[in-house]
Amino acid sequence: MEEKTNVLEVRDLSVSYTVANVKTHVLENVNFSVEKGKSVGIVGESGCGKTTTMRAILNVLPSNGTVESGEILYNGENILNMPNNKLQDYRQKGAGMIFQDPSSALNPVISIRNQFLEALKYAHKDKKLTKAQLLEKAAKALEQVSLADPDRILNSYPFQLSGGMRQRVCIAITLAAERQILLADEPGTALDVTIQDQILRLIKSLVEAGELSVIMVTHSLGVIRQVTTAVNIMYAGTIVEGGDTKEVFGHPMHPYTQALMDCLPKLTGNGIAKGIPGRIPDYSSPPGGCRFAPRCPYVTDRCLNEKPVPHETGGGHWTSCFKAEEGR
Amino acid sequence: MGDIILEIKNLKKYFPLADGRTVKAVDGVSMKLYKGETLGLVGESGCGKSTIAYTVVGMYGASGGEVLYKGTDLAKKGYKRTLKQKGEIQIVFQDPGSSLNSRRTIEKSMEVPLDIHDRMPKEKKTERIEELLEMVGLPKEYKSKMPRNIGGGERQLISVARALATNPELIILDEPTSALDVSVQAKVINTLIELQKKLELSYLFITHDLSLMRNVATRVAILYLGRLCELAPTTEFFHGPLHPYTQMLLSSIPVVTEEEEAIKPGQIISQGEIPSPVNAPKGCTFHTRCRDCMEICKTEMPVMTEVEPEHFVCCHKYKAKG
Repeated sequence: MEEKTNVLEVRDLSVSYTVANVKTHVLENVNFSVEKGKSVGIVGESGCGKTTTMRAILNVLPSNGTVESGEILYNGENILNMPNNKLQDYRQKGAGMIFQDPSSALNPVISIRNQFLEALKYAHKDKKLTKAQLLEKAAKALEQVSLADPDRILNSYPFQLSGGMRQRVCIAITLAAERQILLADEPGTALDVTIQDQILRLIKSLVEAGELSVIMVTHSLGVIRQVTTAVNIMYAGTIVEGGDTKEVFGHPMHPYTQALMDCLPKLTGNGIAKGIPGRIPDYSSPPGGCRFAPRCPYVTDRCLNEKPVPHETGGGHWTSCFKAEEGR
Repeated sequence: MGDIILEIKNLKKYFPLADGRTVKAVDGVSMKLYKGETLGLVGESGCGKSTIAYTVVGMYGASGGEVLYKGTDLAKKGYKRTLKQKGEIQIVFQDPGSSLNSRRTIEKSMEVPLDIHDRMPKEKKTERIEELLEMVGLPKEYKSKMPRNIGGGERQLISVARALATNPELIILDEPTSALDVSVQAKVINTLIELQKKLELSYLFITHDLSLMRNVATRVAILYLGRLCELAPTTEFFHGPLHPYTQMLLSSIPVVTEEEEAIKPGQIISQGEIPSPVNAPKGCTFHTRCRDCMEICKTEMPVMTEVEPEHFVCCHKYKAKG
């Protein structure tokens, strides 16, 4: 069997924000890893800490955010205490991010050509490439994302491109910079469903071709199921369930995952479930035990007082839930 | 089928641009809405869904065609809607954060329609607001809260309650749950379905989410670049979509179960970009992305044809039955 190498590993990450002198404990012991050439999804509802996780991975938390504990290993090195010059290297060559709204990710007054050059100048600074060579890389990357006529694209400004094309350009910049990891933050949400489908197929094919490792965060379970090979379900700053995507979607174990799947309107048309009662907890005083306990239909005393730990249920599928652990 | 509450006939809405061109946002749409049903109007951005909604409510005047509400043409030039008609047709917008005044309490926001349509003394007004809140399943204490202090789903329920204040018969729901999380969306949708049964409301439900329509709508209409592609009863629509665009749309939906995957028309890969409505393609507007494009599609606009009872499709591939 081929040896698995993790390009990125997040270990026991806890992050808090201080807002108006109140400390909010957002992420709590987040663990996951990305294998080289694989795609991993993080899925959860708004306010569950998806974007905070992404920001921590790039080490660009807002100034009021603090990493309480844990480490993020990129090829074995912890990026959270890297010296600045190495950190810059990591951001230029290691991980690149694409955002929900591709129009605000690109500078509106700079041509696509110069936006490419800006990124590539740093990403390939050791190789002493000429401008022409860099542009060749850019053109090749644009072809990889199925944008015909790269010359025209390079000469355009963002407003001359459609939303789908702009998102492709963002992906192409990451490809041309030969970054290993693509962080995708809701990459299709702002696009129409037929265009989103094209972008998702593109990301999937790039991963399968071995060009990239992808971490994708989104609120859409369907998107994650379509693109990723492994999934982590996030609720209120904790990962409650994870594993092989097919396995998790086929047999969801955590009550939150189950409820979330039920809430989704299905094409098969079985009506709409009641929804999940209550709201996500207040992060300034999160529940002492399982963070989902106050909304969980199967809650017991143990859930309220003790933190569940990941419990493996076979096939690389695990969940942090006492119900699964006790076999209830 | 019951009585027709709303009939749109060949509705057109053009917006002139500064450079002399026009955006044909809605270009000849005809459809009927029966009393007590939910008609799902589905399409991608820029297809004219919201323009139709705003024209029906009267926020836009029509450039052509008719909007017949209970037989009266509301879109006729110079016609002024009566207060009663305005009360009977209400709208709920997508983003409850911006459709509620953030500096007013919920009670103050909900008073507005009551003041206009139903002048009543202060105490009765408070009573009515409490009654409306109860109808959407919110505690009456909510009336003194500010919009920022309640959740997104609850805010949308307030918008629904406000729309109910004038005893409407037709409510236009313009993407009412698109800004909400799925766990919250479920509650809002269930409330809407209950209200519809209790008050015999008719809904024109605008959305881009076909999975949601599968579970809510009685009939589904698909729009593309200002024109209708297909209109059919929901079950029939999802089991036998006919228009190539509808098939592409359905196969693009990311789904979560194997059963759903089986329903999707497979092997249809989404291609091409949505053309700009300023410069819509000649002939069938979809021909630039259609995998079954024929010569006739590039020159001649197809017409709506009833291929099965109540199942209409606008495509050269299909001929009328009989």
